[in-house]
Amino acid sequence: MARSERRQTPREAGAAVREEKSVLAVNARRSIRERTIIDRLEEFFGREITTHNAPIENYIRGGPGAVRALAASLNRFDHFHDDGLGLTPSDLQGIETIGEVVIAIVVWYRRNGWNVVFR
Amino acid sequence: MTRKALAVRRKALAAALCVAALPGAGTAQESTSESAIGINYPSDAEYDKAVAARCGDSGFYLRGDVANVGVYFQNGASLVENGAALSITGDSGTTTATVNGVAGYVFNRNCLPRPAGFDPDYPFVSGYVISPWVLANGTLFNSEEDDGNTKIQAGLSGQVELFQAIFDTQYLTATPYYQTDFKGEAQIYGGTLSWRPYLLDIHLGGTTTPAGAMLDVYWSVDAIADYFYVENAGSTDLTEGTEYAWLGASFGVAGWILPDALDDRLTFTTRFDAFWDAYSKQSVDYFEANVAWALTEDQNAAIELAYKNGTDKDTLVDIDQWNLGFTFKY
Repeated sequence: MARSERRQTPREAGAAVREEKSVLAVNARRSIRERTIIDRLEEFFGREITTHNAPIENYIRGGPGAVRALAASLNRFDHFHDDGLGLTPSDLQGIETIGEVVIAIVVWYRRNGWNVVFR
Repeated sequence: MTRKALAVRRKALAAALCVAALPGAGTAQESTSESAIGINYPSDAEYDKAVAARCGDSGFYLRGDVANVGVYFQNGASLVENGAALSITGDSGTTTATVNGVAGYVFNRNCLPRPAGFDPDYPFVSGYVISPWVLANGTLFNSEEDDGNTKIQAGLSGQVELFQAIFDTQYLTATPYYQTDFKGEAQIYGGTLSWRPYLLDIHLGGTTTPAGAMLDVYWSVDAIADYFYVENAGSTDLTEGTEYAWLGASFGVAGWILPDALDDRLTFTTRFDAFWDAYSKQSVDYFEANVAWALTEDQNAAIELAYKNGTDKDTLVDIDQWNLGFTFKY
């Protein structure tokens, strides 16, 4: 068997993955689709998001205090946590619609070096 | 994989990740019309301006409970179960009016940013507020009668929010106050310290609303330390010249029955308070439950059936009453 055709050892496979990650970090901005953000929010809330104008009360109970607490809960949620999402209560203070939650998250990604991709 | 193959793959990966190369791709600022749910995304400057406007929104408020006023307060919030209430009753020539509400003004509410260099998981102080208020709670009669369970309080609330410290967020509040009764005879001076945590994972302070749920429910807890000195007991059952130092907690549950089918109109709340006085060693408890049917779509007005039983620690008067009333919010 030629040297170049042999199977990768686990150590070599790991090295390849690390190389790819370093490429992601150094040579390109990470990207995320708006649809992915909305899908994650739908999973979080257990309810579809079909329009940005839907009242936030349709998605979370407990009033303004709970809406501010939502920032921490979203920061902790699965893939958002993996991405290092860092919303603060200020981002959600006084919001009235679910669209404003999406905007806060998109703006966070944008400001933290991500490209937000549409459609 | 050879070094050469790895380099080729690296190049391909970099190209694939270049957003400009993706069909239909662009930054949020460039592609506002492409949003899947019709959002017109603001620029960063516009976003900051909108956040600043929401955070600096001081103003007058009217609510059912002073605990509903704080960093998280906002005008137009829809919380029927926490609305101010006024109900009028006629019975054999005696007319009574029951008042239950707090009015005040919010000063210096703020939203503090995460300190530079802090990880997203680190706790920080994220807001504070100072709010003077006046509370009225009790029943007015069309005679000189006073059932001894009326109070008017004037106070100043200072509140700090601590974000992501074990809980999602939590509020620490200090409230010095002056209390009298509806006749103006009682003179009571005091101060309250309270703590309210939120952790949405366990429905503490709030809950999400999964589609098709039979019941949306969350619970709340307020830990409270309340010290006051009674100079004049007035019509209350408190003892003049006596100090009280109540330690305890208030537990609450709020629920929406068949929220999707009934359009959020049918709600219930319960509250249980348990307190112990460090001076007299006595304990008091208080239970309250109500069911409300919202009359308006914005839920700012409702018909409410309430039951109260127990002892109010602020007046030491026993309560056991049903009440059917109309609640409204401004």
